[in-house]
Amino acid sequence: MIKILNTATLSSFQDLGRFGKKSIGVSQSGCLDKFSFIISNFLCGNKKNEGAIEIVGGGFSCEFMEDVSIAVSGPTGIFKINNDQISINSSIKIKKYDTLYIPENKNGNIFYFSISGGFKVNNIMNSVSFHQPSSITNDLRVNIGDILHMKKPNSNFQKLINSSFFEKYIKSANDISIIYDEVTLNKFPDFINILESNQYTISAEASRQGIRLKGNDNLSHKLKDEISSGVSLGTVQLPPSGQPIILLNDSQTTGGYLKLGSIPNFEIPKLSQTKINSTIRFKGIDLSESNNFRKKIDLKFNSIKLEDYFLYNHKIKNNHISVQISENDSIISIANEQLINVFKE
Amino acid sequence: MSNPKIFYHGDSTAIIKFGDKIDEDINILVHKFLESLVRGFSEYSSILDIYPTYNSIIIDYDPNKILYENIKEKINLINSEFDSSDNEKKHYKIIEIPVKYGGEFGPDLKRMSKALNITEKKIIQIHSSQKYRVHMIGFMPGFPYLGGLDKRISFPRLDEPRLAVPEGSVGIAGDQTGIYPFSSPGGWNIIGRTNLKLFDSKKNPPNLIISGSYIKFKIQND
Repeated sequence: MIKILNTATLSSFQDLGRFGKKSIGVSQSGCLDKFSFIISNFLCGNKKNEGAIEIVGGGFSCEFMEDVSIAVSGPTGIFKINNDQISINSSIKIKKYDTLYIPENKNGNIFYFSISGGFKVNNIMNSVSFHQPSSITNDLRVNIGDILHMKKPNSNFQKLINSSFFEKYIKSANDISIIYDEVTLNKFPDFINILESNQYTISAEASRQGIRLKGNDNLSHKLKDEISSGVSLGTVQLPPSGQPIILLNDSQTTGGYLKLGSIPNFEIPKLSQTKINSTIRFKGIDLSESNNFRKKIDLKFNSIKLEDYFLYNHKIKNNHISVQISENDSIISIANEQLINVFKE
Repeated sequence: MSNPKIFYHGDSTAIIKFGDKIDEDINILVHKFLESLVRGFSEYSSILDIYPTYNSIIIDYDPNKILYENIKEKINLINSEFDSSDNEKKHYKIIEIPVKYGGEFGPDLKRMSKALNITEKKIIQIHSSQKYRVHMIGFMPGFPYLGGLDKRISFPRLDEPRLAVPEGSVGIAGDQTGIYPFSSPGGWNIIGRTNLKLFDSKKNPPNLIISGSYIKFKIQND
């Protein structure tokens, strides 16, 4: 049993998504950062698509009523078990009455919390993914005071990853790739030039449905809405205001705004980890470039290895310092409240 | 053979487009071609979703398992064997939606009646006298985009959307009429309400109304 004490901005169950339901108006939902999501499951020995809690923002905390191994993945930083600081992207053995706390993180927004063996939670239309805009999945939102149950708690996992995958491929960079639609390339080449010369700020109107960007209004237009048609994860819409919208996992399944193109799938984790008020710039790539990038990233992702580690805690003056040393001494991570360093041989 | 255009959208979606307007014949073609596509791709685990809109079909795929070029090739192959003249019409049953019109259930009916200079009774009669094609489902789970509203009762959206339109509300916006499966903010003129549950995630399938079928509103008196 796990008791939820705090839920940050939004905490919800997610898996890789709910597919094949767009014909009845249900978008795919699912984890925003699929790389981190999968890592959290691997760290505690779960299968790839096991439901995990997606935590948006800092401040999540919960108390455990049983022993179990858990993992927290996401942006580089720390989470806390009682007073110990553990580097994110590790799993750890939890004892009864331990408390997990995930603080605000300057490197990103989204964390995944998995337990070894998985959470006991009901499937809704073949998925445990909470879908924010409809009331059909309300049971999959995690609320303060909720008591969560486990399927088969397992306490054998205490691992970390041998990779700086987050730093290299998920941590926000200014450039976001976009694959322009053929119509945009042929009919609106000027829009492309202007779009790419502008800098856009991620506005506070960002949710699991989409991100509204704010920037120069030099792309405002008077083109008529299109006939409502399909939209996808990553679709970039340009409403008459000229301020682009990027659709995410919980978007509507159809939309009538002008579509410029779409963000390739492998950039969605990066985009969703980008903090509100950061700026981004669009960079056009074509389909074959996108395929090459994707292959390269997948190769790196698939080469991530897990290693067992030992945890040592020290109190030096008033500082709690935690040291994780992997079994063959190849990875050492040192953490206190402010700093974390990972040394690798 | 039909003559659709095939486009990519991002790295994991293909769009098959059958024309540039809202038109019942195009939408019938869309749904007919959809059946061939679903059959043709039934063995492909790389295909995540295939769904219809007014005048196009969208295919979502996993780019790790299949490339756009291969999908395009397969669509062309399916198209070469597709007989659009095949007039064997599917006998969709017409789904009847009982509606309580006006009063507390249709708060905008009175205003519409005044502005259009048509009696409430006549609006209700026009609205409930014909069948509507379900061109697609979208906007929210189970929301049907219906075609064929009588022009006499078309009416512009509210200037300010309501914060909450009750579940089951039947509305008119411009040339469209539709039903809200869930309570939601919305700017449609609400003329009535149905007690039928349009979407229930615990049922299989969860939706009462399917795309490509027809519905008819039936006046329900207390």
